[in-house]
Amino acid sequence: MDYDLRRSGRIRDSSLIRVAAVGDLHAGRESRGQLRPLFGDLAARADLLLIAGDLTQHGLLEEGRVLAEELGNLGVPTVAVLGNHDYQDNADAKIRDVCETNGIRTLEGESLHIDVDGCRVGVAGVKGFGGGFAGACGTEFGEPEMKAFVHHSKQLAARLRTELSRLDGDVRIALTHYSPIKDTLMGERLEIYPFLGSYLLSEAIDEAACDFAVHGHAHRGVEHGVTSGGVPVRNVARTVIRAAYKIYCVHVRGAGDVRLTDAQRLPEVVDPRISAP
Amino acid sequence: MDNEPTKYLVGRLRQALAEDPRTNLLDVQITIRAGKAFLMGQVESAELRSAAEAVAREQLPPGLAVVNELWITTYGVLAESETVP
Repeated sequence: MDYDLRRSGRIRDSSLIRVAAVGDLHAGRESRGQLRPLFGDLAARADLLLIAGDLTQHGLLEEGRVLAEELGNLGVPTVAVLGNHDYQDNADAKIRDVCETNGIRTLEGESLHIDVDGCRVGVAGVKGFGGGFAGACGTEFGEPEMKAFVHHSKQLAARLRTELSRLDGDVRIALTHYSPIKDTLMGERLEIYPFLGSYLLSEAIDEAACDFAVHGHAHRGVEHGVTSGGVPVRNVARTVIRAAYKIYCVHVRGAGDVRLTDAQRLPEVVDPRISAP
Repeated sequence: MDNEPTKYLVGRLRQALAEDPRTNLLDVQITIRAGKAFLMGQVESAELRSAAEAVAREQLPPGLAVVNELWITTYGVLAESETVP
């Protein structure tokens, strides 16, 4: 499914897109009135807001409603994925609906494009799942339960791969709840890595040559990481960024070339040792 | 129950904190030392902090004191942003 959102009318550096991101808000009934004041000036500071899952604490529809009303219609395109907590009470579909009703586009293996002053920003989002990382990961082998666990992870990574391949924007972002890499898990216990993410997500992100990837879930992890293919990854779990949200300025593809004047360009260097075929 | 090894007590409490609908907390740090069970880490609200302590008191033997060192996280707005390389 593709969505088209439009964002315009502000003055900003056109070579950068300002991506606000946060994950693991874990909204409860008591969160009403607590979140929205923190996002009051977001529309002036960011071009879009990404929410990396765990919108709710207990997965209750009532909590989803609180979150949606607190962070809905902030005046900035807002895109979310669900997290494991949002499934706890089997109200995930309803939580998603209430988010959508309040203007929070909630991606479950889907993608959208946002027009930011003529710059096309593509976001593909999926919850993702565990399974572990290359060299220490689960496989679809043995008991049906184990097969189901790993199959779910593979399925969601495949959804992400498909949706990433559909992105054609000037900026391409992957949004997940589970982590695609180990780097951002540093601080978590090694034993629980297989429950925190899957390298299959990273493989999809690298294959699509994304510009930026954002995840949550790893509360005790670290913010910064990079995929094997060199895609910057940020763990934006609220306990990690220790703030209401963080703003990341992401380069627009090709904008660097546009910015350079002829005087700034370095002369082309031809290595005489390399001859044309 | 009183002689139950500490690691099993910790394991049981960890399961309960994750699965109890009052808490659903997955990353509380539990340490049992010198006859006391320390609950440490961040929670989102005073309600969760109290609920975690209540679950711990229900799960642990009565002779084990529960020390609630969970703190409620508050978040501000960062002034600066990061330019992604």
